[in-house]
Amino acid sequence: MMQPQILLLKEGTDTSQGKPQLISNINACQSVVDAVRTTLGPRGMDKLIVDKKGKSTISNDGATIMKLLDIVHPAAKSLVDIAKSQDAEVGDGTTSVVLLAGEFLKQIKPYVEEGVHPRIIIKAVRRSLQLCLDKINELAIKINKANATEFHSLLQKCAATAMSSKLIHQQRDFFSKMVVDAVLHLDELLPLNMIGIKKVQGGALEDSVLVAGVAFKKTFSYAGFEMQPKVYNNCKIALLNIELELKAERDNAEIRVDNVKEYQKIVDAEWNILYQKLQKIHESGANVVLSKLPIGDVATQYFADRDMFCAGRVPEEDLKRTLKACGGAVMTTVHDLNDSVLGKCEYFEERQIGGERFNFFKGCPNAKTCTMILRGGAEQFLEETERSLHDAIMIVRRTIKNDAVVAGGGAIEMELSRMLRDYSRTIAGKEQLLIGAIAKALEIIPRQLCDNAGFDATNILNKLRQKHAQNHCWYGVDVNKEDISDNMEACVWEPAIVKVNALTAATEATCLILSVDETIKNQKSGDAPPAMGRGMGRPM
Amino acid sequence: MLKIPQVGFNSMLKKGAQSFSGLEEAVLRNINACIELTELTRTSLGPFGMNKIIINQIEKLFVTKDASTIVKELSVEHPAARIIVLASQQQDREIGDATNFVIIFAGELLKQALSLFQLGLHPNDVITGFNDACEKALTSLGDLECYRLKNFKDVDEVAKCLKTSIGSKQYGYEDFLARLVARACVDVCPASHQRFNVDNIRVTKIPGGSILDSSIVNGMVLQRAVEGTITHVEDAVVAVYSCPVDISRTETKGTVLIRTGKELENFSNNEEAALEQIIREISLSGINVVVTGSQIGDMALHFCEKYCIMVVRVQSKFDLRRLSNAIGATPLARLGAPMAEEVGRCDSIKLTEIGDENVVLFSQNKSTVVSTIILRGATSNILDDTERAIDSAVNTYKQLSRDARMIPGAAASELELARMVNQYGTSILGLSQYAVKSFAKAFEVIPTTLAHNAGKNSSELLSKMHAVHSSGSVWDGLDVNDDGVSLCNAKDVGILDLLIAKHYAIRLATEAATTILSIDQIIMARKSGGPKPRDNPNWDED
Repeated sequence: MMQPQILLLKEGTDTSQGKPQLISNINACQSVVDAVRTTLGPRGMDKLIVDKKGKSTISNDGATIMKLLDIVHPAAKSLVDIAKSQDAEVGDGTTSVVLLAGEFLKQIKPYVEEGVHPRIIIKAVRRSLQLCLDKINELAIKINKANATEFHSLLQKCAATAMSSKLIHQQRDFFSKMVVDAVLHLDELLPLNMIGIKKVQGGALEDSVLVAGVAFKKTFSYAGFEMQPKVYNNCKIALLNIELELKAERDNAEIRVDNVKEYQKIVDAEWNILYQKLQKIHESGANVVLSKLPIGDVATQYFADRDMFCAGRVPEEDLKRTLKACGGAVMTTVHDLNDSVLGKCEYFEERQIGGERFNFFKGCPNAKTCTMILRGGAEQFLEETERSLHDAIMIVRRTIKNDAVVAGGGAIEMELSRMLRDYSRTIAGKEQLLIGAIAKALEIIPRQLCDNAGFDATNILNKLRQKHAQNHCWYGVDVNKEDISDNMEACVWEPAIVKVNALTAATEATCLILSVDETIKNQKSGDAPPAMGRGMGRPM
Repeated sequence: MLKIPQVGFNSMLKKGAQSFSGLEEAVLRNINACIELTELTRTSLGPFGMNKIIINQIEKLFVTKDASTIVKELSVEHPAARIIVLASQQQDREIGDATNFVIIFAGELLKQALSLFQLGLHPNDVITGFNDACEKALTSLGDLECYRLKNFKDVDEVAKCLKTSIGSKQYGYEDFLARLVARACVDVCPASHQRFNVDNIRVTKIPGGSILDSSIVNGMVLQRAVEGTITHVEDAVVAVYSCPVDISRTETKGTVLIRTGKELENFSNNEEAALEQIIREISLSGINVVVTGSQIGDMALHFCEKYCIMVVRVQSKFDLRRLSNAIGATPLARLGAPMAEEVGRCDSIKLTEIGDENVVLFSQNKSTVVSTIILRGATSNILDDTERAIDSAVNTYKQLSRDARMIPGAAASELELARMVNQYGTSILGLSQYAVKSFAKAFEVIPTTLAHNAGKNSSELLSKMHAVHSSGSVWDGLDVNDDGVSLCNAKDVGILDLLIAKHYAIRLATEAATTILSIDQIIMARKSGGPKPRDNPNWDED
């Protein structure tokens, strides 16, 4: 009889279903977690990742590593997502969030294998999350914003904690002050792009400076630039979006002349247009001219003759920050150029830093912006420093916006773990075991901190459990003494929002992975279907 | 061996065509394929259903238990199974919910039909019986009504009706999300609720935070920053342009002819002056926000800044239309000062940061035409799936405005239908009695699957439910939260399904099943442009 060949799904479609699928998803996540596990904490190690293009990156930042790993496993991808989401929402704690999600899954895996229904597990996980969040809110210490110096020192502590796990932890006191100062310069919206970070190779990390105002690298300049003055006091700045060069007025314009005289007039007119522009700028009283578009050599010469400074092809973000700092407006036309649209600053100079020349604008009337100039050795080192500072800046911003802190160094996790364990003993049913498992999973943070520092984790965790059982809720790992300490007093502080978001994101990812029981992979369109062998005796 | 010319039906067709006929080859095979499909989606039914990861042919990842999405992305090839897929998509379009019910119920009907064929019934008997039973089920559906939405503007009452729809997809967040959707729906529902438009509920997904951080905005949310430096305007008067805000250019290619030096000098000055004139006029007519669906030139932006006009760019044509709708503006195709009736008004337009994304909020204080749910969540998959849950809840509200009747959920109404149809079956004569009774039996697949997915004993549940229902408490359904097999009054705990959704679902499932049963021959032409048959060592020499 003729064998029919009818397929339900397209050829090449891959399906897998059931509990083995769930277990394999969990295993995949586990191996991703292993990749970032050792980066946690002050004694965590960095990773060197070489991407497809051969560009190497050295990083300790969980989100950066996860992004570069280029994971294709569908379930493990959600771990990348939560790291990104933590990065977006808080900016730090990206390693913790991945680690927590992985550990939740690891502790739950035995129950899945035993056949507990995933939905029951999900319910228990969500319940634990709710309990943890309530506990964090209850424990978190509110910041008193009234006292400026106290507030400042508190923010510094948060920034220092964030930086203690990074490459620059040696200089964390130096940088934490810098970061807090930088953030406090901003207006109440705390826009991140108003903190410029410039990197100059060479020098030591301590040579880095914070400029209350704007600084950017000298732009490309034409002949005549050398004659321009490089220092001004109380200068006026014209911010332009005009090309100061001889150029075609309009692309599709055509000039028809019938005699030589008229031709000369046209040539003169072109020059006139340029000179008129330059004259208008000069008449407005500006000393410094910045433009997004190029400033040609005629213009450079013209300004030099009149003791003015100019810089063309200024990057847009730098121009925007100058605008924020010095006031005024970016002009697209020279006709309205007057005093009200000029920016002002007390002091302008061009100065050498390392191998680069920089333009500095200081003493700006509304300094809602600032610039960090980072110094250091290797390029990758500087890049990692920038990422670390970014994390610290984000932490400070979040702390200002949500003013509550908890103790870091695994203290809050231990306390949550104790609370969940105590709670689980008061309820009956499967949830008891599951909440107990979550309680155990939370201990991964202090445990990993110890492991990475080379301590005996079992020993230290036992000490911590004892302290927490005696209601010393802020005891955590002390990496300097290889012991435990009250981290609230030791000033290892983190914003509560970091922990809240990390726990929430880890829980959501756990629930998502647990709720999947089947993967169906369609063949990518465009690929040829696998060669199909025809059986014996089948008609053509 | 000599090649023998083909005889029979196949000889009439092109080479490579396949045909299958008869009960054994066509009908049973079709049924089996469909059952295989329903097995796939069965585990996703109800609050305890499981998610599926689907990677479609463009490598997009879905994590969902929304049946219509699953079958859509599966790219089902089997012709008979596709009929079921089409039925579920039809349900999705018509109602926007209960799509899994269609697939599972149709599959179960086919399964029942299989045993009827084994008894020796002719497909036609089965089809008549099914159709008959379907009519009976649909008429008795009205008797099951247990609740009716009265006030379309009451958030609590609406949330109660939407809870079940969300609970079956995002179990654990149903109370929160139902309230959120209910508020959004109530805010935008016009006075005559029949004219409610699902398109007026927008969902903006921003990764970060948790689902419980989601919020609602009376108005539109655009996921991009503003153009200029003005980031906040209260009591905005808005002009919407679908054209670029820039110096107008001709479409026709032309050149500007310049004859004298004077002309050249004045050329760009005139152009600037003309543009400033336009922007000034716009400003003079009271406009303080300009929205454009296209580019904005540097020069135009400069003048807008000068006259303190905020500039927002909207890239999507659809978003521009919705935004105009939300603020009551008419999109203008030409740059110029708008008429008084063409401007839109918005109480507050401001730029804020959610997560690390810049968004522009257009919010109205009181009544609004468009409402946006800002959805937060840890991963993009969660966001996508929650959006689907919200979509079906919004559709539920839409259907409520057509037909406000609700029936008990938690499999209570399915079991009651099974009982009613079964009673009806005993009362009729002829062979179709068997089919009617099988139809009744097919309803039991819903309680069975629900119990199965929740990890409970389905036979125990069925017997319990039958017992309770015959004693008169017809609104009792499965209690999934309890550890053992226990029942709860679906009306009291607030598990309510849309009557109209069930109505369509039963009809569509029956139609799909009977269509598949009525096929007795499949003919498949050879796919054009397929790969050339390869040499196979197992081939016979012929």
